Amino acid sequence: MSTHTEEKEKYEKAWNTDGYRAHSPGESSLKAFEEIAKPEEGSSIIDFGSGTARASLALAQLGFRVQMLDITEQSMDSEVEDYLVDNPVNLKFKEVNLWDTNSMFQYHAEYGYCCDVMEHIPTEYVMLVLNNILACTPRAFFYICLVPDAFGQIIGKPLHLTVKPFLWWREKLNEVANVVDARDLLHNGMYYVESREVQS
Amino acid sequence: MNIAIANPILIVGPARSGTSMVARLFNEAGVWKGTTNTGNDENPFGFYENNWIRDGFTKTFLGMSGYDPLGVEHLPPQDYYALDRQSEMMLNPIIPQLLVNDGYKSNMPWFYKDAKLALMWRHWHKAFPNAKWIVVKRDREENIKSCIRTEFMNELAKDRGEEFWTNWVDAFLVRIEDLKQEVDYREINTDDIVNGDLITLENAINFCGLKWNEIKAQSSIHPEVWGKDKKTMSRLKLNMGMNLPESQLLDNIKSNIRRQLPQAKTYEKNNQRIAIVGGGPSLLSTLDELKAQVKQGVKLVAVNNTHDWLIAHGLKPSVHIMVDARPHNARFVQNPIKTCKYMMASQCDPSVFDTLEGYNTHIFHVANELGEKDILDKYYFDKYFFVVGGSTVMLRGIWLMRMLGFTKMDLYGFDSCYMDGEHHAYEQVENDECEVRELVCMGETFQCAAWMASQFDDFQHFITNLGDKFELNVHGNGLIAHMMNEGAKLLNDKTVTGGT
Repeated sequence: MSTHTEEKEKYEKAWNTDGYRAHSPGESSLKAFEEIAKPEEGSSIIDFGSGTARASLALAQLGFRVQMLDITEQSMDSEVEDYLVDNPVNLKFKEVNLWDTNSMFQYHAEYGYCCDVMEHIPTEYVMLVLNNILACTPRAFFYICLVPDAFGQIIGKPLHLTVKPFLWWREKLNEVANVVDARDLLHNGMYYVESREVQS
Repeated sequence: MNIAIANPILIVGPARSGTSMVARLFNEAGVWKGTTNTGNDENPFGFYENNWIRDGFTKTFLGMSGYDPLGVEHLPPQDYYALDRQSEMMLNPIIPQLLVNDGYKSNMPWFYKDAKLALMWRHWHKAFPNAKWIVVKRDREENIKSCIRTEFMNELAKDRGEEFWTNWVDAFLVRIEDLKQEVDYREINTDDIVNGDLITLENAINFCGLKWNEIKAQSSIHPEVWGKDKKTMSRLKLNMGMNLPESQLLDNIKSNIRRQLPQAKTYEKNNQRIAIVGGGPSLLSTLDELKAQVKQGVKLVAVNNTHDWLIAHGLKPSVHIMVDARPHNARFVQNPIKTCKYMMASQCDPSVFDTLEGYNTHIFHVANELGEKDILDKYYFDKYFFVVGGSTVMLRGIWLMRMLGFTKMDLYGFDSCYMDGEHHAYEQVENDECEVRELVCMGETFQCAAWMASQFDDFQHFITNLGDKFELNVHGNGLIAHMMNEGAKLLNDKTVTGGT
């Protein structure tokens, strides 16, 4: 079984387990994203690893055009599925593998939003995912958990596969883009990066 | 009226009994306070009296009724109740309107703290029969002394002396005894709180339906500012680097937090023994002890200039801590080493951080109540800690290292006194001109600069309140080592006596 298939099955199991859906870091980080990235009204945003999609829904309701990408469609809240039916233009979903460059290649947006995702990526794929994200968007906001997850015990497999310190992530991001803002929020790191093309 | 607005928490006690501290603790427990005055030397963390209610209602009401609006000179009688039915109804519309004007939002728990509540408590009780009252109690004699020595109180009643303030405090106490017969209340003893006994505070917080957080409460209580005169507060400020203009201190913080540095964070307790090395003169005579401990695996923590001193004596610090905001302290980090972790307060001069660029540097935060909380709340989205501990880098360092999980600590060069005429184990010209005073501790006389006496005082409070969280061993024969040794002897004697 490929790593991708294995991970997909793991998350399908997680999303169908009581309690996992209750907490959505992506949703709670929206305020920080708006404050730091200051996306212009109506801009296009890719939500990398959209999870419950509650953050994407909130962004779409604010008038942004949002493309959601996630390893499994089963992560999405039913409320968002309902919204998609009526609003297929400003909110879209696609099941993708974030480290598969070929499947990521077709997506482009002015901003990237990636919360509670990078720590879930197997360490050997971290740089590939970062490169893929920065190929899709010139500006990206990351919110990364710096400590092990508690939920993995329930499903028998760890969910945070890359638990690294704040500075480790800043250095990795710095390899693919300019780190405009980086804040250590104790258990989480918050980073806003711009591609070097934008900065030049 | 919505439920929250009809159920205020009303905090009352004579002025200088600790009502501001109690109000601050309620505010930090999540209760809305509205606009209040910032602090001064004698009430350093603020007054916590809602300006809108105080000026828009309390003072107006007292003044219009023919009494001193400030509640000092001409007090209403003990059984004062002046409102007719129509004016009784005014209290309810007036207070909610003042709250709304001040930005109050529906359903927030709110408090009003004012000593003058004791003068007009019947009116408040009539208007807010479901209010929770918090009665603040302090030792009567200390309360009176504090009124006498406090500048802003004396400005209210110039040259009135001890008799006046004794009668004044008693006038409030007798009214508070009356109100306790009628209202739903809990009493908080502020003397107990600053001595580390938080039980009355915990009861009061629970009584008001708030969430009790002992760690947060402990870190918000500052015994070092309790019962101090103005001169002592000035020493405290000097040592915290607050002799810089406030704006510069805040500018330092704003600039330094944007350096993308990791924050110091809390860890589980560990068993690694550490030696925190201060610059006191006994450091020279205890160097061999220190080297022996290092050979046994003890890790070294330097503060300020001991970083270079240790390296010059063949020892490498694992951690270096600095708190002071003055720019000249940048000279202490001119020779950084790759194996050391640099823990720098966000208020330090930016040149300190410039020098440490590329080294293993962490940032932490100390509270001076100058507006840094607002800056840090906004920048870190509330995700940060303040390091508590006292007026000097040694005291802060002890608590910082405890936060990092270290509980077993040896303290070197932590004397708080001159020894053979020297204030440090090395040259430190800033301290050459300090005024020296004598301080007697447990039968022995020590020569101390003001900052040393202040540090000693803070350390005593620190040990009293937080001593059970550490295993501290103070080396040398300075003032602090003497106090620890003699205190331990006393404890042993008491234990023996108690057993016979």
